[in-house]
Amino acid sequence: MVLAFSGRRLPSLLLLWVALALGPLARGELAIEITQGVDAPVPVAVVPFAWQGRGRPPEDLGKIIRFDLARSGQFAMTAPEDMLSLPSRPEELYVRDWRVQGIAYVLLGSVRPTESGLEARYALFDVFAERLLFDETLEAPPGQLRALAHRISDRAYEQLTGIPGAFSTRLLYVVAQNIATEAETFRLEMADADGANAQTLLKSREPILSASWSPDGQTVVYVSFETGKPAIYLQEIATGRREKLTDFEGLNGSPVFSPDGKQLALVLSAGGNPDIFVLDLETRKLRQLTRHFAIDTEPSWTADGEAVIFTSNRGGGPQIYKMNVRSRAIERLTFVGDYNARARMLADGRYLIFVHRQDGIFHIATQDLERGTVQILTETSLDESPSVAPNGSMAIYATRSNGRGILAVVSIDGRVKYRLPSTEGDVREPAWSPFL
Amino acid sequence: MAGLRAYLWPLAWALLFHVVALGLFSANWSSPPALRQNSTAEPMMAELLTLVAPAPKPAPKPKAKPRPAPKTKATPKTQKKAAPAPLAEAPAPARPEKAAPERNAPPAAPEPEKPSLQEVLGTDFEDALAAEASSDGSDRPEAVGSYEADLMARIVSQWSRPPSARNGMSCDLRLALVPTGELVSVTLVRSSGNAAFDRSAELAVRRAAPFQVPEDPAVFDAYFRSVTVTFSPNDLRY
Repeated sequence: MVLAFSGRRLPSLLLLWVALALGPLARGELAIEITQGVDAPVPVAVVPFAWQGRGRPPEDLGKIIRFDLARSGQFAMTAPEDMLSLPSRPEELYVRDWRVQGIAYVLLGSVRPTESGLEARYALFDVFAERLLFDETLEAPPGQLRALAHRISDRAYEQLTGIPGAFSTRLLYVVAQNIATEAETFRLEMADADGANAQTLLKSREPILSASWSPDGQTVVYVSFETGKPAIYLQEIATGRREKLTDFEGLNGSPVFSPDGKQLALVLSAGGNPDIFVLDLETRKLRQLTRHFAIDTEPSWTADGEAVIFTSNRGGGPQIYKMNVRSRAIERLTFVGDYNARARMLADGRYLIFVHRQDGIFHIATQDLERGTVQILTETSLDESPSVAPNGSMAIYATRSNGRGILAVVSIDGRVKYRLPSTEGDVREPAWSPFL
Repeated sequence: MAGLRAYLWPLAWALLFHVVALGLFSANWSSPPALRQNSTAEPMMAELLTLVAPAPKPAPKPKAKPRPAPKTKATPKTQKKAAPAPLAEAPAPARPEKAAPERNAPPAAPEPEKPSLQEVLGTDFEDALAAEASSDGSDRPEAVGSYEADLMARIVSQWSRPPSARNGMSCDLRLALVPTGELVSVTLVRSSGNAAFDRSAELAVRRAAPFQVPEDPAVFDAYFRSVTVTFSPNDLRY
């Protein structure tokens, strides 16, 4: 650098040198490191969507999205009454209208009927940076307005949080009515993640238990007592076609698909006491995984399909164990407390979510498998059956309120909680679908 | 080559300037290089770590000028102490700025540098050293710390991290402020790799603005016209 320049360029270089030397001297410029935050909900406004068809819109897309985002607990939603203007296109948005209210993001859009169904145009605007984050269109078949709204919620959620949204997913659960009476009935139901569009997959006079999803979301497995004793069934959602998989002597319980969908882990007690088995769905071959005089039950798979975690009382009280399906190496995972059961491993493989008893009260808790720390997520007392949303942000579980079984949702960090609008009867055994 | 001789004087000035600069650096070297404050009064207050941003700039210049170096060696006693200077450069910057005339406070264009350079050279070197020593290690006006803390508290109170944020993520934003405390621009100078995280930091800054800044234009220019903020959460669960 020094030797390369010609004489003519020297002055400017020299000046530059002086400037470089002085510049930093003249400026003490602050450098600050911030290591904490408040994690308050981010203010977001979802403007009512404009309807560009004739007559009145079937339903306001904006309202469905607003409820979706509000449920996530990450956002403080602005009520439409409080909005100073109701733009439906980014060009119509006046930044000041939103900035004065401290709103950080505005989602707006419109829907119009097309020949093939519905088309939504929607945009997300960053108010403080005055920047359009996206401006897109999405189509849906007729009558799928809610699905369209959930897709838009997913899109906005992912943009704002960095995590895929799980608003377009579904829930399975069992509703029991008139329990302990002559008219006792059980229904296996499926609904959207927000509780809407509930439909009955199976109705029975006998108990239905342990429903869970195939990884592609097309099939469910469950235990039904319809023949008077427990048997495991497979049912295609779209066609309703059912198949009985096992009805051995004794217990047939807790079926769960492996992550690749080719196997089922389940519990059988044909050998005398409950043990974990693996059923190959292609060959229909059954393989015994655990062989212990204690009770082994409630299996589930690790995300990589390499291991099954289950509850066993082999150490005295119920605790969570993990067994490698090939090597059958076994490892105890939980040590805090004298009752830990019904575990599910989060997709990151680091956290376990399970039912944890403390002072005689059953809570949903997580355990960091690296550090061993247990965090209790729920405050209610009879919490059971946690099932994790496919984006890993929330878990749904069954609990009791005013003597009735209801479903509730808690975020994996315990910060956000909500209850699902309770229907009639006793609701129990929820299972959150994979991404659909 | 003949043209080079014409620039002998400017070169000499420049060398002299370096000597002074090195002297200042070394004079300051013995003092604690950075402030580390912890507010116990406010639990929300994050750890305040003042890394001095301009340090990287002066660093390359001794290396980049191999030729002047030998001549510099011949000059004053401070030279020996200057050896470890790269580490010590940090706290130095503000002092000479104050030594320089107040009227030249905004050091923008290269033009005004020349007079100020002469004036720097004109000031009594020993006096400068003495002033340096008496300033008790901190060469910043006392008020800077409280404005800095206020700026940080405002940002902290507005920073809502997305659920995808993890301990260990880190991004740098450069804030450009005007003397009324308003935010002119926020620039992402180093991304965390997570767009949602970066945006949460940017949003925190924009929501926290305007800021309280010192009224003294010289102090404002020195410390608050451009502020670099690092966002690196350490209180998250993951």
